[in-house]
Amino acid sequence: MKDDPLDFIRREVSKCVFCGFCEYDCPTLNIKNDRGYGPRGRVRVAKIFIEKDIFSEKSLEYIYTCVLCSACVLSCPAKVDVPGIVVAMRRFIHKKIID
Amino acid sequence: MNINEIQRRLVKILGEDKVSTDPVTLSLYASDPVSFPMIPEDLSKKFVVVMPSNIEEITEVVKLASRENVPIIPQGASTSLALGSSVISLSALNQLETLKYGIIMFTGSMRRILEFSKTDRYIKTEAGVRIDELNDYLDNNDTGLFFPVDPASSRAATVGGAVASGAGGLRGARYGTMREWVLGLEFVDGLGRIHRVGCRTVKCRQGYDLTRLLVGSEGTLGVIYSAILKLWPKPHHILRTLFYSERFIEGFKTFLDIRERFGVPLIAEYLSNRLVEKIRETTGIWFGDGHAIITDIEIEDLSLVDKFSKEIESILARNNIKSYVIASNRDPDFEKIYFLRKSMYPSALKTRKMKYIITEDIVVPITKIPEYVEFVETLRRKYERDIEVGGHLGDGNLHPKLEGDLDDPRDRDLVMKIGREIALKAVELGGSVSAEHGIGTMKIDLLIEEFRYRGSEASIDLMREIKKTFDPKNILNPGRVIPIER
Repeated sequence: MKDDPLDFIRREVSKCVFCGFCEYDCPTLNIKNDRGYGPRGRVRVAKIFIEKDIFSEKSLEYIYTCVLCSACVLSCPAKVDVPGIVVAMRRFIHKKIID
Repeated sequence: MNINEIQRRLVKILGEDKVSTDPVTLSLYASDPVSFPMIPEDLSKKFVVVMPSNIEEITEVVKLASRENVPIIPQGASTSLALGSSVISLSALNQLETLKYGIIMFTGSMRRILEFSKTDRYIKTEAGVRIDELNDYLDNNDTGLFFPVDPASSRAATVGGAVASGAGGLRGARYGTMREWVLGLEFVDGLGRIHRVGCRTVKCRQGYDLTRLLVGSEGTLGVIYSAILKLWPKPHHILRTLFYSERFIEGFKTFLDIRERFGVPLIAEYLSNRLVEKIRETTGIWFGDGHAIITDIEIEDLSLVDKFSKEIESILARNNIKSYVIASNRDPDFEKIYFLRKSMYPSALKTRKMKYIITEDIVVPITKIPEYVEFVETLRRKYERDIEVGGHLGDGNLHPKLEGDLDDPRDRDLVMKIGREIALKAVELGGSVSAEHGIGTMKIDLLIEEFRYRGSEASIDLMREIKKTFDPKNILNPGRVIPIER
């Protein structure tokens, strides 16, 4: 990730069309059955965070339960870098919220 | 009663884990692919998400909603493209609204396969089982059977959502849509009453056919808990042909010749020449230039590949088609061609010049397809707007893809105007404003116009009465499909 984390998140999030193809292979979603624990949900979490500054305890849970396995990237027709978004979000959270 | 009180009561019914007013969680369930870029605010004060685990819980939630007159928005994977399961609605007359309050009921947590019979060729599943999950189950157990309805969203789409939206897909010409494959249903009506309708058999006369009335009702007549689905033997082998023509009409005539010789293909897909170019640009997949058509025909035995390939080649030569690929299901190009077709929507998205792509969904008789494709081309020139046509040649279901900016009221106005012309031309040609995506909110006005065009406005009145019978308080997905006063 060479560009600014926010620019990176913005760019990757803009590729997502909420089709849900990524959800099938997500190991965490298959345990939790709540959209937030899947790639599509995590992209949405990032989107509403950077665009509307909406963030909740659930956002933390959704972002930090991703195991970064990249299964979603393989099934995403738009090749959204979901693990990259999650890592960028975690860095951002550490920097802006926890610190 | 305010939403906090509703939430408190819902927690009593379902437990805390299955009820949420978290603003982020709500946002995840408030959207679908059409409304995804729009982010409604303050949802936590207006909406609550529930995730029931069984039909008893669905019933209790619906009874509460009915008593307190709170709308319920039932939802599967939210892959519908007609704004039918989102809290946002957009009419064909360009009225953009957000529902005022309600309970979003996510049925995707119910993912059990309840019954399966290889001999009787049926499977009974809960609403949240995904279509691909169902087929993986049949494959992994070496049943030799499959569920043939395959909406493009089959990896995400749930059984409940596919039933509710009356989904179709690539195999529509040969196998039809959900309507032909749903044998029975368990659902809860607007008063919280449980219904178990249909059979485990193809033949089944139970008075009025409530099962198929629920198919395509888009959550307005009942919340679907489970479905009994008919299964079919998987095709032995498939011979796939991808061919290109300079003008669409040449390819279309070739498709008709293949259909005449081999019967209705398993799939027959069309991609406009510009879509072919976009797919090449974004995926690097390229087999040729021009308008692309893909046909799949079933073959009993791989030894027939050469014989059938030669016959197809002679049909192609007769129609002056020079650019083509023929691949059996053992050939590496077989999957590559399918991927090319599946890349249509993502490639259109990646190469778009405007913020949104609206995928239209119309159907015309097959003989009218060339006239319709030509009509869309005139719209493209008239409005100087990117509109690309692709879709299912085999059943006359086309998906013109229209670029626009729905956030800009003026552009949205133009997009909806073009959308109306796209839909109503289909009606004029003997087709319909929706083939498989449903009515949602985007097609309500167009549906009414379709019936008006046919001189059948009383049908709308009849539908309103049906809605009132199933859901007297109008709490189930209100304002969708057939709106009535709340």
